[in-house]
Amino acid sequence: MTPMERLEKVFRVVFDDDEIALRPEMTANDVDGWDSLSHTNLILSVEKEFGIKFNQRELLTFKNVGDLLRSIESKL
Amino acid sequence: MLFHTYPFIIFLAIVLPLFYLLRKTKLWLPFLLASSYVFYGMLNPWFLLLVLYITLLNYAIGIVMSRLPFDPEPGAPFYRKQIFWLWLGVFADIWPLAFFKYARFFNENLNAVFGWVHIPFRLPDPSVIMPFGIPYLLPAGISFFTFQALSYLIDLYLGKIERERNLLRFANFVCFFPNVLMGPIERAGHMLPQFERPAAFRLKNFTDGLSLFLIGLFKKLALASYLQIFVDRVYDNPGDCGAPELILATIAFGWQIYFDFSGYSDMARGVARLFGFNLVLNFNNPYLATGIGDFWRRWHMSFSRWILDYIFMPLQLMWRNWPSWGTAAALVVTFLFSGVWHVAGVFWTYIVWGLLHGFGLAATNQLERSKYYRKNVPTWIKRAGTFAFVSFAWIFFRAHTIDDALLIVKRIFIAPWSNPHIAGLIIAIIILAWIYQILHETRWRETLARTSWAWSAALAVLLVVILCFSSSGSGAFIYLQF
Amino acid sequence: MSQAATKTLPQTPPEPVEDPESPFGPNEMRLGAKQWIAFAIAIVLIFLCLPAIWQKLERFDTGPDYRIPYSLSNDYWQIGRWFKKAAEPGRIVVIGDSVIWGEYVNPDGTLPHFLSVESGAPGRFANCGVNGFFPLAIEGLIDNYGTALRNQKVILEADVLWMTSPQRDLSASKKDTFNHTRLVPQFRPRIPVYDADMNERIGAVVERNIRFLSWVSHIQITYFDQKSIPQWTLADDGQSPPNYPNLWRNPASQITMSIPDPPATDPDRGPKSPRHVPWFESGKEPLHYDWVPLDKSLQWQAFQRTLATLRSRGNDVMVLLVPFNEHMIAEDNRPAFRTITGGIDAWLAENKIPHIAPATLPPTFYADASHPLTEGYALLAKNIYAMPEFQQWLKQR
Repeated sequence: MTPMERLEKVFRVVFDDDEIALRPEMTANDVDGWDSLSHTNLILSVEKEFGIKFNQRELLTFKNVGDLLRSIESKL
Repeated sequence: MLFHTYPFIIFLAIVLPLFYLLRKTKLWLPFLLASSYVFYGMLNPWFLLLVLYITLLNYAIGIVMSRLPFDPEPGAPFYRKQIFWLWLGVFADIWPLAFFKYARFFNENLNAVFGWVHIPFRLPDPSVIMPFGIPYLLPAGISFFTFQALSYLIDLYLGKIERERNLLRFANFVCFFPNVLMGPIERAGHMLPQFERPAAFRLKNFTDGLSLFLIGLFKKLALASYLQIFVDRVYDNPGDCGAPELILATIAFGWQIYFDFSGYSDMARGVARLFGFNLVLNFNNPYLATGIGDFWRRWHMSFSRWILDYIFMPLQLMWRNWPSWGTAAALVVTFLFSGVWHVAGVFWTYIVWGLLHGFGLAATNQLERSKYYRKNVPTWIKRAGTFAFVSFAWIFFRAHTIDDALLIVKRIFIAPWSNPHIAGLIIAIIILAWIYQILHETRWRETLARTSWAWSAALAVLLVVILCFSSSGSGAFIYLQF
Repeated sequence: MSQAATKTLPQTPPEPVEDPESPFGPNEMRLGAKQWIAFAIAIVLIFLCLPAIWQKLERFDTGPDYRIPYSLSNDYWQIGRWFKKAAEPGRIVVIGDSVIWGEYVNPDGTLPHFLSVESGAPGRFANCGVNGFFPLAIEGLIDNYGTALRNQKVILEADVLWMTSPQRDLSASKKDTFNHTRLVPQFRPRIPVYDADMNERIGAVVERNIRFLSWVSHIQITYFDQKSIPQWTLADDGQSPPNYPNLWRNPASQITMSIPDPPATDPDRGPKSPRHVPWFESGKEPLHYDWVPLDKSLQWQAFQRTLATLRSRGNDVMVLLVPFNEHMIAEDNRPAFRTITGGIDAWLAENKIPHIAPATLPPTFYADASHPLTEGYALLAKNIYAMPEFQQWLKQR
């Protein structure tokens, strides 16, 4: 599986929605059932799935899925 | 000088035409800065020193940080890391604010502790160490422009913006007369580009700016001042008031502070618009919020986004390994911070207010996790519940002391249900405000916006006439003391 | 692709959606250029016409001895209206402070009343004194609200009470409160006692130049107990525990479109009042005054300017130097007093201004340092009428 596919799987689990399809340019917006807690859950799940650790700074600067993906790939 | 005074009108009448005359020359930006300094310096010329300090300090640290690599080289000494300079800047920015706002409170309480443990030492009152006979007074707007400068440093650190090369532009960013006293708190990324070139001369800037200014003036002078008379009477003497009086005064206070603060923000944005600048929206029908989180997305938006981006998010992410507790702790710290920022005079009441909102937000989050709550509970119940909670928290914001606040809370439950002595007109104003806000967020908004042009002009005339009849002596803006 | 395809990465709560024009938020009153012009025209029309129309509609009854009621002393718009009414040909307007108005006496016990009695025509002399006024305030009043006085015969009172101390002269250095601050010069000359910030000063100048704003004050003073409408609704009646009578009253119902008459009986004034006694019977004693020399006196300079303004409007002005209660001046203080009165007399003579300085009345005719009792006014009127300069001035056109 490509990183993108693995990421998509994480999203689907965290948000309990099998129909989520990611695109790199997707940005922050209201997701049904989202609150800031899901956001941290998402990050935790991503870190667990890929076995990586994000630093504080980059977490605060992700602008879209593409940024997230790039950061993941740079750590693999 | 405050916006609703004659000296300001005269100031504007001089500065505005000159600004547009100088538009095509290189002088427009220095002139704008000079005007902002004159505006701010009128309150107290000594405060300008503080503005200069903040400007030069952050500009310099910006230079240093931008010369360092984004990712520190391995094994680099501390002064080669951007994070070091960020923290240095943060402390250097915050200490004047902390000194002017909290030093006296801190000294008094520490002296009390010394008294209890019989240490024969007392800290002096901070006014003693002020040089050149400068008074120990809270510089107006210090909380606002300090936070604005801090946001520049932090955004620079996060790589969200490039450092500002032009000192003149940066100085204008730190001290821009429409928003220097009471916000909205702007971000560097939003404001600095606006100082790159002067706005074109557009009629719309004038018509929109004047509209906003008139609305703000009306809210502040006609509505907020009126409600204040009633609220002050009750909150100055809560022990003598019955339960309905206390409840109504609290509700009235919620509206008073809304009209006051949103009115000022409207005036600030209107004035900025006259010059062709855009300042962010600060209030968006806050009493229609369906939860505390929603409330903070509608109330003092520039401030809540600031604490969200710079305090809550970093803390929450830092503590993500304890998801529920980490988030809750981050919320508590953030709103404790908010309470501390709002401190004006008495300390503890604002802390309690901040913490109440923190817990309220945590509770809202919990509730909204349940699908039942999200889908089955009607909106009006959510709104009413949120308003009730926010009003309850306002008791602590407004009361003179913690004891008073607790007395009010107690009396709301046990005091007799006597005549509240509230004017019918006040109730009418509050009901009309509610109706307006509700209509505004429904399809009736289209109708409101599309009213025939004669009606709008007539409304404006009515506002001015009402304003003339409402002058009940000037009351300082509530938020000016922050 | 279902709706889910649009689900996105949650980051921070969304940026407030901002259109490039920066939204108005919940403020939907957004006027365009045409509307602003309509607004401007409407405001100008209202500002110009409403007070004028109001003057015609509001009942204002005055009898021969009418004087501005005490409660309306700071209703300058109304006072200006009274000036206009009083300024009829054949009628003589008497302008001054509480001495002319009659602090201790009823409306039919004042100097203008007795002068009218002497002249044989009731109401010939109109009482345009205002209680609580002083030369600096009278200057502002005449300048801004007295434009109806043109080509009129006017008696302008000069009262040396206002030069009896630096505090009364408003030239003392200690800041203090005083009445009618909105009438006095706000910027030039600088009044040391006057303590107000720039906003208040400019506000005072604006209010007295924009008729509409003075008219708004009039409505507030006359119908709303000197309060703004918001304050009026929440006013309490001063009792303990307080009552709030206006909470549910309709403000519009207050506006009866007729100036309220002063109360029929005033317990504080008139021969039957306990205050209406000679000064030595109410415990007052001769005093030593700190006379302010004429060249330093702000009040005297204001008087001079008022005189010039009245004359420049074609008015035929006679200055009446009301006799001060000399008996209440300590013996060794009297020379200073005479210097002042002598100086005033000399200046008036030098500038060829018609003036009379009746002699001091006997001690029993005074209520305090400057105010006569009813019988004092009657005697004063007789004395004035007997003076040939006065008769000559009355006859001249």
